[in-house]
Amino acid sequence: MTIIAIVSQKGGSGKTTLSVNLAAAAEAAGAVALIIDTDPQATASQWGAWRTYKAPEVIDSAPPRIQAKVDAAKAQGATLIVIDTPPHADSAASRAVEVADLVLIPCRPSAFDLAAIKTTVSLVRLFDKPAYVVFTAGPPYALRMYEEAVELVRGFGVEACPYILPDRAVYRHASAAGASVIEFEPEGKATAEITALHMWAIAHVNMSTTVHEGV
Amino acid sequence: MSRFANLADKPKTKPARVVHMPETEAEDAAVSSSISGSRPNPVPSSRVGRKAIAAYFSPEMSVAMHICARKHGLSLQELMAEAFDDVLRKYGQSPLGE
Repeated sequence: MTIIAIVSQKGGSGKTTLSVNLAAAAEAAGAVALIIDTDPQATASQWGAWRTYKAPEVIDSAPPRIQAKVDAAKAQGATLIVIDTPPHADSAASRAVEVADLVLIPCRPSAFDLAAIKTTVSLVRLFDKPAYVVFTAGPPYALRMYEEAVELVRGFGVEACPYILPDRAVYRHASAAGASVIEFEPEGKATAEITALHMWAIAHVNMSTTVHEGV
Repeated sequence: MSRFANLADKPKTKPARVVHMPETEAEDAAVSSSISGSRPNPVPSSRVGRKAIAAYFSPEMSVAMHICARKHGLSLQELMAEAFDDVLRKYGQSPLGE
Protein backbone atom coordinates (compact mmCIF):
# COMPACT_ATOMS: atom_id res chain seq x y z
CA MET A 1 0.00 0.00 0.00
CA THR A 2 1.17 3.51 -0.83
CA ILE A 3 0.54 6.52 1.39
CA ILE A 4 0.99 10.00 -0.03
CA ALA A 5 0.73 13.03 2.24
CA ILE A 6 -0.21 16.36 0.68
CA VAL A 7 1.29 19.02 2.90
CA SER A 8 1.76 22.77 2.63
CA GLN A 9 1.64 25.32 5.40
CA LYS A 10 0.32 27.81 2.87
CA GLY A 11 -3.39 28.09 2.16
CA GLY A 12 -4.76 28.06 -1.37
CA SER A 13 -1.86 26.07 -2.78
CA GLY A 14 -4.11 23.37 -4.22
CA LYS A 15 -3.78 20.68 -1.55
CA THR A 16 -7.34 19.44 -1.79
CA THR A 17 -7.43 19.70 -5.59
CA LEU A 18 -4.23 17.67 -5.80
CA SER A 19 -5.48 15.18 -3.19
CA VAL A 20 -8.79 14.33 -4.79
CA ASN A 21 -7.50 14.25 -8.34
CA LEU A 22 -4.43 12.19 -7.44
CA ALA A 23 -6.67 9.66 -5.68
CA ALA A 24 -8.98 9.67 -8.71
CA ALA A 25 -6.02 9.02 -10.99
CA ALA A 26 -5.00 6.09 -8.79
CA GLU A 27 -8.54 4.73 -8.86
CA ALA A 28 -8.60 5.07 -12.65
CA ALA A 29 -5.36 3.09 -12.78
CA GLY A 30 -6.94 0.24 -10.85
CA ALA A 31 -6.00 1.12 -7.27
CA VAL A 32 -8.42 1.07 -4.37
CA ALA A 33 -7.89 4.67 -3.35
CA LEU A 34 -8.98 6.51 -0.25
CA ILE A 35 -8.65 10.17 0.74
CA ILE A 36 -8.19 10.96 4.43
CA ASP A 37 -9.27 14.55 5.05
CA THR A 38 -7.63 16.01 8.16
CA ASP A 39 -8.66 19.59 7.39
CA PRO A 40 -11.29 20.96 9.81
CA GLN A 41 -12.63 22.96 6.86
CA ALA A 42 -13.47 19.54 5.37
CA THR A 43 -13.16 20.65 1.75
CA ALA A 44 -12.26 17.18 0.52
CA SER A 45 -15.07 15.70 2.62
CA GLN A 46 -17.49 18.14 0.98
CA TRP A 47 -16.32 16.91 -2.41
CA GLY A 48 -16.79 13.33 -1.20
CA ALA A 49 -20.31 14.10 0.01
CA TRP A 50 -21.21 15.64 -3.37
CA ARG A 51 -20.28 12.41 -5.11
CA THR A 52 -22.04 10.21 -2.53
CA TYR A 53 -19.46 7.50 -1.90
CA LYS A 54 -18.41 7.10 -5.51
CA ALA A 55 -14.78 5.99 -5.50
CA PRO A 56 -12.37 7.42 -4.49
CA GLU A 57 -14.03 7.91 -1.14
CA VAL A 58 -13.20 10.55 1.41
CA ILE A 59 -13.14 9.98 5.17
CA ASP A 60 -12.30 12.55 7.79
CA SER A 61 -9.83 12.11 10.60
CA ALA A 62 -8.58 13.98 13.61
CA PRO A 63 -4.75 14.02 13.56
CA PRO A 64 -4.22 11.49 16.39
CA ARG A 65 -6.36 8.90 14.57
CA ILE A 66 -4.58 9.03 11.21
CA GLN A 67 -2.37 6.00 11.90
CA ALA A 68 -5.28 3.87 13.13
CA LYS A 69 -7.38 4.81 10.11
CA VAL A 70 -4.55 4.02 7.72
CA ASP A 71 -4.19 0.58 9.32
CA ALA A 72 -7.95 -0.04 9.19
CA ALA A 73 -8.18 1.11 5.57
CA LYS A 74 -5.32 -1.19 4.62
CA ALA A 75 -7.13 -4.10 6.26
CA GLN A 76 -10.23 -3.17 4.25
CA GLY A 77 -8.33 -3.34 0.98
CA ALA A 78 -7.10 0.17 0.31
CA THR A 79 -4.01 0.18 -1.93
CA LEU A 80 -3.41 3.93 -2.07
CA ILE A 81 -4.17 6.53 0.55
CA VAL A 82 -3.88 10.26 0.02
CA ILE A 83 -3.85 12.36 3.18
CA ASP A 84 -5.06 15.93 2.72
CA THR A 85 -3.90 18.31 5.44
CA PRO A 86 -4.95 21.79 6.53
CA PRO A 87 -2.64 24.82 6.28
CA HIS A 88 -1.10 26.12 9.52
CA ALA A 89 -1.74 22.81 11.30
CA ASP A 90 1.42 21.24 12.53
CA SER A 91 -0.28 18.40 14.33
CA ALA A 92 -2.13 17.10 11.27
CA ALA A 93 0.83 17.77 8.98
CA SER A 94 3.36 16.01 11.20
CA ARG A 95 1.12 12.95 11.71
CA ALA A 96 0.50 12.76 7.98
CA VAL A 97 4.19 13.08 7.12
CA GLU A 98 5.02 10.46 9.74
CA VAL A 99 2.90 7.75 8.09
CA ALA A 100 3.60 8.77 4.47
CA ASP A 101 5.78 7.00 1.90
CA LEU A 102 5.95 10.17 -0.16
CA VAL A 103 5.19 13.79 0.64
CA LEU A 104 3.98 16.15 -2.06
CA ILE A 105 4.11 19.88 -1.36
CA PRO A 106 1.79 21.74 -3.73
CA CYS A 107 2.97 25.29 -4.33
CA ARG A 108 2.08 28.11 -6.67
CA PRO A 109 5.13 29.24 -8.64
CA SER A 110 5.22 32.68 -7.01
CA ALA A 111 7.83 34.19 -4.72
CA PHE A 112 5.48 34.49 -1.74
CA ASP A 113 4.31 30.92 -1.98
CA LEU A 114 7.79 29.56 -2.58
CA ALA A 115 9.16 31.37 0.47
CA ALA A 116 6.41 29.80 2.57
CA ILE A 117 7.44 26.21 1.82
CA LYS A 118 10.52 26.49 4.06
CA THR A 119 8.53 25.45 7.13
CA THR A 120 7.02 22.50 5.32
CA VAL A 121 10.46 21.41 4.14
CA SER A 122 11.83 21.48 7.69
CA LEU A 123 8.90 19.34 8.84
CA VAL A 124 9.56 16.77 6.12
CA ARG A 125 13.30 16.74 6.90
CA LEU A 126 12.70 15.98 10.57
CA PHE A 127 10.92 12.78 9.57
CA ASP A 128 13.41 12.07 6.79
CA LYS A 129 10.70 11.44 4.16
CA PRO A 130 11.05 11.78 0.40
CA ALA A 131 9.34 15.02 -0.57
CA TYR A 132 8.76 16.93 -3.77
CA VAL A 133 7.30 20.31 -4.53
CA VAL A 134 4.50 20.13 -7.10
CA PHE A 135 3.89 23.39 -8.93
CA THR A 136 0.18 24.10 -9.07
CA ALA A 137 -2.10 26.78 -10.49
CA GLY A 138 0.64 28.43 -12.53
CA PRO A 139 0.65 29.19 -16.25
CA PRO A 140 0.87 26.10 -18.51
CA TYR A 141 3.72 27.55 -20.59
CA ALA A 142 6.37 29.51 -18.75
CA LEU A 143 9.51 27.46 -19.10
CA ARG A 144 11.87 30.10 -17.82
CA MET A 145 9.72 30.87 -14.77
CA TYR A 146 9.51 27.19 -13.81
CA GLU A 147 13.27 26.80 -14.23
CA GLU A 148 13.80 29.63 -11.77
CA ALA A 149 11.24 28.18 -9.37
CA VAL A 150 12.97 24.78 -9.50
CA GLU A 151 16.27 26.46 -8.63
CA LEU A 152 14.68 28.32 -5.73
CA VAL A 153 13.11 25.12 -4.42
CA ARG A 154 16.49 23.37 -4.60
CA GLY A 155 17.89 26.20 -2.51
CA PHE A 156 15.54 25.12 0.26
CA GLY A 157 16.93 21.61 0.08
CA VAL A 158 14.06 19.88 -1.70
CA GLU A 159 13.49 18.79 -5.28
CA ALA A 160 10.63 19.81 -7.54
CA CYS A 161 8.42 17.16 -9.11
CA PRO A 162 9.09 16.99 -12.87
CA TYR A 163 5.34 17.13 -13.53
CA ILE A 164 3.35 20.30 -12.95
CA LEU A 165 -0.38 20.89 -12.60
CA PRO A 166 -0.96 24.24 -14.31
CA ASP A 167 -4.11 26.25 -13.76
CA ARG A 168 -7.00 24.83 -15.78
CA ALA A 169 -10.64 25.84 -15.58
CA VAL A 170 -11.65 22.18 -15.59
CA TYR A 171 -10.47 21.83 -11.95
CA ARG A 172 -13.15 24.34 -10.88
CA HIS A 173 -15.85 22.84 -13.11
CA ALA A 174 -15.07 19.30 -11.96
CA SER A 175 -14.93 20.18 -8.25
CA ALA A 176 -18.28 21.98 -8.45
CA ALA A 177 -19.77 18.83 -9.98
CA GLY A 178 -18.25 16.62 -7.28
CA ALA A 179 -16.07 14.99 -9.92
CA SER A 180 -12.39 14.58 -10.62
CA VAL A 181 -10.94 16.08 -13.79
CA ILE A 182 -10.50 12.53 -15.05
CA GLU A 183 -14.24 11.89 -14.84
CA PHE A 184 -15.18 15.35 -16.02
CA GLU A 185 -12.95 15.61 -19.06
CA PRO A 186 -11.30 12.23 -19.74
CA GLU A 187 -9.45 13.49 -22.82
CA GLY A 188 -8.47 16.84 -21.32
CA LYS A 189 -5.02 18.22 -20.61
CA ALA A 190 -5.60 18.23 -16.84
CA THR A 191 -6.36 14.51 -17.00
CA ALA A 192 -3.13 13.84 -18.87
CA GLU A 193 -1.19 15.92 -16.34
CA ILE A 194 -2.61 14.35 -13.18
CA THR A 195 -2.26 10.86 -14.71
CA ALA A 196 1.42 11.54 -15.45
CA LEU A 197 1.94 12.87 -11.92
CA HIS A 198 0.29 9.77 -10.44
CA MET A 199 2.42 7.41 -12.50
CA TRP A 200 5.55 9.30 -11.51
CA ALA A 201 4.56 9.21 -7.81
CA ILE A 202 3.90 5.46 -7.85
CA ALA A 203 7.12 4.75 -9.72
CA HIS A 204 9.00 6.90 -7.25
CA VAL A 205 7.54 5.14 -4.20
CA ASN A 206 8.19 1.69 -5.68
CA MET A 207 11.73 2.66 -6.61
CA SER A 208 12.63 4.02 -3.18
CA THR A 209 11.04 0.98 -1.48
CA THR A 210 13.16 -1.35 -3.62
CA VAL A 211 16.30 0.63 -2.92
CA HIS A 212 15.70 0.49 0.82
CA GLU A 213 14.97 -3.24 0.71
CA GLY A 214 18.23 -3.83 -1.15
CA VAL A 215 20.35 -2.06 1.45
CA MET B 1 -21.72 1.23 -2.24
CA SER B 2 -19.34 2.61 0.33
CA ARG B 3 -16.12 0.81 1.13
CA PHE B 4 -14.70 2.98 3.88
CA ALA B 5 -17.60 4.98 5.37
CA ASN B 6 -17.25 2.99 8.61
CA LEU B 7 -13.89 4.68 9.15
CA ALA B 8 -15.26 8.24 9.15
CA ASP B 9 -15.15 10.28 12.36
CA LYS B 10 -18.70 11.48 12.03
CA PRO B 11 -21.70 10.61 9.85
CA LYS B 12 -21.55 12.54 6.60
CA THR B 13 -25.28 13.06 6.28
CA LYS B 14 -25.45 15.43 9.23
CA PRO B 15 -24.70 19.10 8.61
CA ALA B 16 -21.54 20.43 10.21
CA ARG B 17 -22.30 21.37 13.80
CA VAL B 18 -20.89 24.61 15.11
CA VAL B 19 -19.34 23.89 18.47
CA HIS B 20 -19.81 26.80 20.80
CA MET B 21 -16.59 27.58 22.63
CA PRO B 22 -17.26 29.23 25.99
CA GLU B 23 -15.09 32.29 26.51
CA THR B 24 -15.69 33.19 30.13
CA GLU B 25 -15.80 31.07 33.25
CA ALA B 26 -19.41 32.04 33.90
CA GLU B 27 -20.36 31.02 30.38
CA ASP B 28 -18.28 27.90 30.83
CA ALA B 29 -20.31 26.91 33.88
CA ALA B 30 -23.58 27.76 32.13
CA VAL B 31 -22.69 25.55 29.19
CA SER B 32 -21.57 22.73 31.47
CA SER B 33 -24.83 22.79 33.40
CA SER B 34 -26.99 22.95 30.28
CA ILE B 35 -25.77 19.69 28.83
CA SER B 36 -27.72 17.31 31.02
CA GLY B 37 -29.67 16.02 28.00
CA SER B 38 -28.47 13.78 25.18
CA ARG B 39 -26.40 16.55 23.60
CA PRO B 40 -22.65 15.78 23.53
CA ASN B 41 -20.65 17.79 26.03
CA PRO B 42 -18.94 20.71 24.24
CA VAL B 43 -16.44 21.03 27.10
CA PRO B 44 -14.16 17.97 27.16
CA SER B 45 -13.85 16.53 30.67
CA SER B 46 -10.07 17.04 30.51
CA ARG B 47 -10.67 20.80 30.28
CA VAL B 48 -13.26 21.23 33.02
CA GLY B 49 -11.91 23.50 35.75
CA ARG B 50 -8.73 24.22 33.80
CA LYS B 51 -7.40 27.33 32.09
CA ALA B 52 -5.96 27.69 28.60
CA ILE B 53 -2.58 29.37 28.18
CA ALA B 54 -1.96 30.47 24.61
CA ALA B 55 0.92 32.25 22.92
CA TYR B 56 2.04 33.05 19.41
CA PHE B 57 5.29 31.67 18.04
CA SER B 58 7.00 31.26 14.67
CA PRO B 59 5.85 28.34 12.50
CA GLU B 60 9.30 26.80 13.05
CA MET B 61 8.81 26.78 16.82
CA SER B 62 5.38 25.21 16.44
CA VAL B 63 6.71 22.47 14.18
CA ALA B 64 9.69 21.84 16.45
CA MET B 65 7.44 21.48 19.51
CA HIS B 66 5.04 19.10 17.75
CA ILE B 67 7.89 16.96 16.44
CA CYS B 68 9.60 16.89 19.83
CA ALA B 69 6.35 15.76 21.44
CA ARG B 70 5.85 13.04 18.84
CA LYS B 71 9.42 11.79 19.11
CA HIS B 72 9.06 11.33 22.86
CA GLY B 73 5.56 9.90 22.71
CA LEU B 74 4.09 12.89 24.53
CA SER B 75 1.14 15.10 23.80
CA LEU B 76 1.85 18.77 23.19
CA GLN B 77 0.10 19.45 26.49
CA GLU B 78 2.47 17.09 28.36
CA LEU B 79 5.51 18.59 26.65
CA MET B 80 4.41 22.12 27.52
CA ALA B 81 3.67 21.12 31.12
CA GLU B 82 7.20 19.72 31.36
CA ALA B 83 8.64 22.92 29.89
CA PHE B 84 6.63 25.10 32.27
CA ASP B 85 7.78 23.08 35.27
CA ASP B 86 11.37 23.39 34.05
CA VAL B 87 11.13 27.14 33.72
CA LEU B 88 9.54 27.45 37.16
CA ARG B 89 12.50 25.54 38.62
CA LYS B 90 14.89 27.76 36.66
CA TYR B 91 13.42 30.87 38.26
CA GLY B 92 13.44 29.33 41.73
CA GLN B 93 9.76 28.53 42.01
CA SER B 94 8.09 25.25 42.79
CA PRO B 95 7.10 23.16 39.78
CA LEU B 96 3.45 22.14 39.74
CA GLY B 97 4.11 18.69 38.31
CA GLU B 98 1.12 18.68 35.97
